[in-house]
Amino acid sequence: MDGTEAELLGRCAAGDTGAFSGIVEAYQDRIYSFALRLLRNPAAAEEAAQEAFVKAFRAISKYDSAYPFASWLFRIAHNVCMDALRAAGRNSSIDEEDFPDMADPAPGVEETVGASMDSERIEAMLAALPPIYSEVLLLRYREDMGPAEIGRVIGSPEGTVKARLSRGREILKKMLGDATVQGARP
Amino acid sequence: MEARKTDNIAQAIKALPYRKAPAGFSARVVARIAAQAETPWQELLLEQAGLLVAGWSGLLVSGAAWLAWEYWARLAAALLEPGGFTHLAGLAGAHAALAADKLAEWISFAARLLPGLPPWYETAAATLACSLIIVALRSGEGTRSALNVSK
Repeated sequence: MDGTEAELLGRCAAGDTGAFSGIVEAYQDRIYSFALRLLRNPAAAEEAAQEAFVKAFRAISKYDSAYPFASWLFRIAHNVCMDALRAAGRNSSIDEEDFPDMADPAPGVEETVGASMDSERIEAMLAALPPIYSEVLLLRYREDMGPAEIGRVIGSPEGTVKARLSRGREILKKMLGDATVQGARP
Repeated sequence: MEARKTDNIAQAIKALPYRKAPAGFSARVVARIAAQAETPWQELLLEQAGLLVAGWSGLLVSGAAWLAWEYWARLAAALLEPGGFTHLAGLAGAHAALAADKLAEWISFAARLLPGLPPWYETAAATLACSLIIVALRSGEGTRSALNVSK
């Protein structure tokens, strides 16, 4: 955490909403993108991201500076998004560890082929994954968090994080393989 | 081949662009925080009254459900008898009359006690103090549950 952020957080803890607006601006795209990739709905993602920031402000005095602020904020965003998914009735994809064969991935996934993956293609593949896998992959590779830090974010043991990462990669590789095979067909 | 696929996946996710938050996002967050901080006292009062009504309703429903559960067999048997419904309605009417009588007596007793009670402003101040304590405790709980974190 840099000095400016620490200073802003100190002012937020004293109830300065102006300082918090600086924090929101620094993290809004990351939190909104995370929520959007989990909820797949721009309005729901905006609502969840706003709710996460409001909750963060209200609980800022509980933030322990021994841990990165980003992972603390992502933890709140994770909780809000999981609540939103449950409310939307997507419980099964949140709670079930097991995942069936990817017979019908998101539209467009199988149409795109080639060795390199563009962002649209990986977005589509992530959207086809249950949120428990897509979120750990996003936190690991997009947010550059380690398994222990991801564990703190999602409130699960490190072993669970590693298992989900492995399973998520496996499913993506299978999707990638299917797409390549489909593309190779005459 | 498999390792290359994983590498490609990691690189592709890493390269994903952040989606831009909608315009005015941070202003809306700050406005929501400000709106929550300035909850009007009428709203708090209504909330407390709502909680009180909900509590009493819950108690009444639970009591009625318990009675129904306890006596359903006898009630069903009485209803099945010829003239059973009229008999039960009469019984319920008698109970209601008794309850009304007791209520009237309780009100008259309370009216006799009234001169000995503290003045209205002391009661109002005590009620306000209790409400403030409840609100303070509930907002503390809200802050804890907002995080839902065990560090």
